[in-house]
Parts: sequence; structure tokens; C-alpha cells
Amino acid sequence: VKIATNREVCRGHGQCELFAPGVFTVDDDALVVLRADEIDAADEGAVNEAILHCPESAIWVERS
Amino acid sequence: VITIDETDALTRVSAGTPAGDFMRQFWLPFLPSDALVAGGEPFPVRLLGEDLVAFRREDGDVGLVDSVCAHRRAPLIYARNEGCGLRCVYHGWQFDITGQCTDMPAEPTTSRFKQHIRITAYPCRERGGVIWTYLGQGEPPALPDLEWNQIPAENVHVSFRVQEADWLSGLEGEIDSAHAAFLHARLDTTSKRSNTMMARSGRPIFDVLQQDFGVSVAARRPVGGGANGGGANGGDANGGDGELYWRVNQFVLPFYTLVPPKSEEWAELTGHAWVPIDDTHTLCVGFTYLPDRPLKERMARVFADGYHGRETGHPSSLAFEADVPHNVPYWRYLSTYNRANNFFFDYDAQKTTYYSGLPGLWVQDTAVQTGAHYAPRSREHLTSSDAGVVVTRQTLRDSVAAYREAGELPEIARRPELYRVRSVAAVLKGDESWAEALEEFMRRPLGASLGYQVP
Repeated sequence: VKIATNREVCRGHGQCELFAPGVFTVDDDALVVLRADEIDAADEGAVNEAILHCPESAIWVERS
Repeated sequence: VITIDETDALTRVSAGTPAGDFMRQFWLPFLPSDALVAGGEPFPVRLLGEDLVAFRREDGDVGLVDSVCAHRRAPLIYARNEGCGLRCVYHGWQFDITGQCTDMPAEPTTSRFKQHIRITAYPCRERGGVIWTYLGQGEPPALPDLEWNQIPAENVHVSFRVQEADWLSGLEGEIDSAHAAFLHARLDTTSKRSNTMMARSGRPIFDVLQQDFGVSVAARRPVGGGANGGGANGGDANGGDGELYWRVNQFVLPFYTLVPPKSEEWAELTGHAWVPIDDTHTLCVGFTYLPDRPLKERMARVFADGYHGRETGHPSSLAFEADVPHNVPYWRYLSTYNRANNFFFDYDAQKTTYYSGLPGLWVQDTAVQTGAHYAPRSREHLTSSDAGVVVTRQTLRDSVAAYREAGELPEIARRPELYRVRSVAAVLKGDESWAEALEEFMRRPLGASLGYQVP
């Protein structure tokens, strides 16, 4: 599964890092950074929680 | 010529209006230093139509920030004044004096959202017991070189009060010295006011001069021209060989007025900053000072406490409403003398004490400037004694337009030394030019004596 982010709309709420700390982090600019583009199937549940809880809709799953 | 609409536009001061945007390019005196206690209750302020909250944090620094929390608009007058700034009582968000959010204790530890949140905050400076702020954008200029704000505390009395009228009405009242012989006249002849040169002289004729600081409004009266009661019965001031009594009031951009001394015994310089709270309310910052020596103890006491229950040139400690709710902007400076109680007007007093029936000097001014009810300027008819009013309006209109159309500010906006100007009263020979003869007394160094005998 491929994850996409939009740092233009991110406001650094940190929900993504809270739910999926292995996949997301928030940098010194208080904006989302992906730790890895591709994620393991094991992380999918956490990533879905992160997507659900992002108040700015700044992260999503890219379907190819 | 200036139209009613052009004049009315000067009284509309919210952000985005021509006059409001112009005013934002100047420092505003907006509170006395002692209004804010370190770590004390935040104080609601409104300036140029914008609601704000002022506070002094525990380390003594002053903040002036938006009136509501950036989260869900909870009032910051309820905020806890702690640490680096104000902490909203709704969810604990904290803001420092730059407006930056520094804490969101209800958010997860991974959140850095606070870094993206900043509320409006304006820089503040303190000088001479007065707190100033600058609502413009970018780096503010130096504070204006106003003498009353830079001399020792014992030389000056400064007062703050709210007036329920547009700022221009107040300013116009203080450059118009023709009103004093009427509005402020006393019928009991024991009053010292009845014996001033102004009260003993005749009808004024005005000479108005545009200056680099604003406008000089000079009024000349024939010495001894009034039989009694001054302007009401006096002769005309047409010069000739006789001596003339000159009073030069100053309008200093953007909202200051300076009034000359009344007599040798009362040699104080006075004036106001007429700071717009919004379109219909004005913060009247009054000052009375002797540049080179302390005010007489009795005078300072009368200003602060009133005179036998009457008001003087400044609101006394008895002149403020005791029970104003603390969510009203400038609640501490709302006066007991207001439109709702008709300024304690007493018709019977017109027969015995006050020509106006209004109890005390500043109350007389505020009553006529505020009006018994709202009356538009379209009902005015200006006359020869309003020459200073007209030129002041035109100067303001042209300054506002130059900023609106070309971004150009008058010189004084960036040259603080031009604020070093005084009002003057003097007796001159009939053929002397007041502008030449009095220039040196208008531009004395900071703290220097008047340099002349007050007539």
C-alpha cells in the first residue's frame, strides 16, 4: 500500500504519529513527514486510524 | 471646502477604512501603566474598532492581543494571566505576548498544532506612565517626542476617560477657543476663571496656519476689549495700534490638541490625545503639565479628587462608574457623567454658578461634544470662528487621502521630533506677526521653561 501526504494542508496535529508512529512523524516545521512510502500489511489498521483522525485530511492511501 | 461626507469619513476608523488605516500608522497611547498589575486581571480594550485584551504578565511585560481564543472564540478577558502570557480557561490554550500559541494541554503529546496558531498581537511600549501600542504592520517608528510624556512624573497630571462621541468631535472642541468664554464661564465672580485675560478680552478673530506637525489655530482678541463676561460683550479684534492677546492652540497629527496657559498663576500647558475607540467612542487622554517644575500640590490634588464635589479639567476619582461589568471595553474609564444621566445638567445652576449648568470643566466639554442625542454633521453651520476646525478637517482629509492613494504619510509620522511643539498665549503689538514672534516659544527644548511671561 502506498501512502500520500499533503504538507500544504497539514497543521501538525500529530494524530498520524499518535496512531501510526512507525509510518508518520511531525517535523520541526510542525508538518507531516512519511517515514516510509510503502507500508506493511501489518500497519494497515494503524494507518487507517491515522487517516480517519487527521483533522485536515492531509494523508490518504494512494490506489494505483 | 470640505464636504459633510468627507468629514464623516474621518470618524469611521475600523480596519479597512481610509481614516482607520491611516491612524494605524501612528503610536496610540491606550492605557496608564498603573491600569495593569503584574499577573493581574486582563483588561478589555477596543482601539480603532478592534476588540483586544491588555495584560501585564508576571515578569512585568505588557501584552495586547486578540479578545478571543483562536480555538473556539472563548473570551480572553476570562483568561488566566500566568507564565508567558494568557491561558484560555476553556481548554487551557496559552498565548504569549507575541500572540504565539505556546501550549495546548488537551492535545496529544505528538501534536505540534500550536506552532501553527498565532493570535493578533500588537507591540506595546511604556513611557512616562503611559502604555503605547502600534496597530500598523511592520516595524513601528520611534515613539512621538511628546513633552508631556517625557518629563518627570511630578510635573504632569494625565487622565483617561471614555467619551460617547466620535473622536473628531472631541478634537474639534479643543482647537476652538471661542467656546471657552461661554461654555466654561462662571457666574460667581469670585471665580479666578472670570479674571483671566481671555475672559476680560473681546471677540476672537482666527488666523490658521498649516504646519509640519498639523495646524496652528491662533485666536486674537483686543486686550481689555470685553467689558465683562468676555466674548459675549467684547469688541472686535481688528488690530491697529493697540495690543492683541493671542492664544495659539495646536492640532498635532493625527489626534492631538494642545491648549495654551490661562494665566501666570495657571501657567500649565494642557491638551488631549483623542484616541478613537470605535466610530462612536473616544478615549480622551488628558494631560496638564509644567515643563520645568512640579505641578502645585493643590492643583494635582484638585485634578485627582475634584474641587468640593465638582469636576475640573480632569475627571476626578469620583467621576467613574463603580459597577461597570468587566466585559465592557475600557470599563474602568467610563464616567458617571454620561448621556444616560444627562451629564448631571442642572438648569438652576445656570442662574447661580455655571453659565452652562453643567458641573465642571471637562463635563461641560463632553456634554456638548457628545450631544443629548445623536445629531449628524449635516445639521452644522460653520462660521468664522470655526476656521481652525475647517483647516484641521482638510489637513486630515488630505493626509488620509495621500496615504490611501499613494501610501504617503505626513512627515511627522516618521519624524518623532516634530511632536516637540507647544501651545502659546501672549500679548503682542497690533502689527506683529504671531507666527514669527511666537515660533521660538512653540519649539522650546524638552523641559525648558516657557521662556515668556504668561499674560
